[in-house]
Amino acid sequence: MEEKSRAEQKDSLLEQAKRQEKIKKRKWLELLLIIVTLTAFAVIMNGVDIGKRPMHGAEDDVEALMLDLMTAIEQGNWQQAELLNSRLDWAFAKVEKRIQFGCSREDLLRYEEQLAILQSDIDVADRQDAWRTLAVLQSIWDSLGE
Amino acid sequence: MAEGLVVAFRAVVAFVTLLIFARLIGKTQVSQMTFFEYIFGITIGSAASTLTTSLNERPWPIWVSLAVWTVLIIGTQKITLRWHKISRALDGEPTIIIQNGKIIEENLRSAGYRTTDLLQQLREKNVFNIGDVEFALLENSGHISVLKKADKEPLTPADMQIPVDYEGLPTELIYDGVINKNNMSKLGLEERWLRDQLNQRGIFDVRQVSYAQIDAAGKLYIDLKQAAENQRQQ
Repeated sequence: MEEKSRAEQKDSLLEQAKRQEKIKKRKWLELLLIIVTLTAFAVIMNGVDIGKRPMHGAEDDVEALMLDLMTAIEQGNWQQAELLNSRLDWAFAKVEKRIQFGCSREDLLRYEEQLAILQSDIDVADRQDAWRTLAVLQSIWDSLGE
Repeated sequence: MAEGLVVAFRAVVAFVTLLIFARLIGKTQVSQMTFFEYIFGITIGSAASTLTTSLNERPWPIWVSLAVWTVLIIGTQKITLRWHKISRALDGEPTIIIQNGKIIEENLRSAGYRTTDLLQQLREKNVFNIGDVEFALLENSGHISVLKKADKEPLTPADMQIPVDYEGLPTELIYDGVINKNNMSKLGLEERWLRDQLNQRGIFDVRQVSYAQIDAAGKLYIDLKQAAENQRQQ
């Protein structure tokens, strides 16, 4: 009888220990989940610099396209500038999808607005204005996500 | 820019972040909220709302502000738990506003509490005559604790020296037609026993039960779902 109650006591202690182990494990898992979630949010919100990097080669390389545009405008090659500007427009639309979660809407709209102004500068072949607009574009691009 | 998508993303971030931070802050925020903590709560809520809808702001700085406020709240909680003097300085102390049936106007005034507010709170505690109050304390949360005069307190079994059974906490056995096996095993009860009890009461399908609990004395309480209840009445 006494042996039986001792065995029962042992079983209950074992069960209690198992339960505590389970609770401990769950707490660690919860903590891990919290850390992973918060880190994921932080990475997405701060991932603008990563998003700005080209992911489809030259197609969405906004920085390279802006440099090419600068050269084309400098040389007065307006046909090439026209082509590069439409490619820049397309490339930025691609990049925008990746960086929109970490940027302010205002900055993105400002960039789009300057792109439209640049188009009109190229249309009228105004080198001075095109240069100025391109400089503004470069500055907005650099400040995106900062 | 897909504004809807960005708002949805930000809303998810704000929601999950608030959920996590509220959990980290703990239950005291709800149950024992002081005025200070109330302000904290409003600020955090406001920051979460800005994070969701102010698309002209970058989300990261707002999120950081949310995190910093949370850290400050947790820090303040830890400090106030550790050092009582700081706790008193930050949260204040309960103020006696009624003593022996008399309003202490000076204390009431210094707490910025109006007599009408006091009367309303007393009425909510079923006290309609200030003369019945031995002590009333204005707590840090803004609520009032009332101790009625001994002769105005309701009669209890202890006053009558009547022994009462220990009630304890009831344990849930069935919720929405599903047996809580965890609680059953904790109490050392078998499912067959529960089904027998239900059968004795004319319930042959556990899914008909909305809620069932057992108290410390072993008394079973069963609440049937509306449809099953109607069926039984017919």
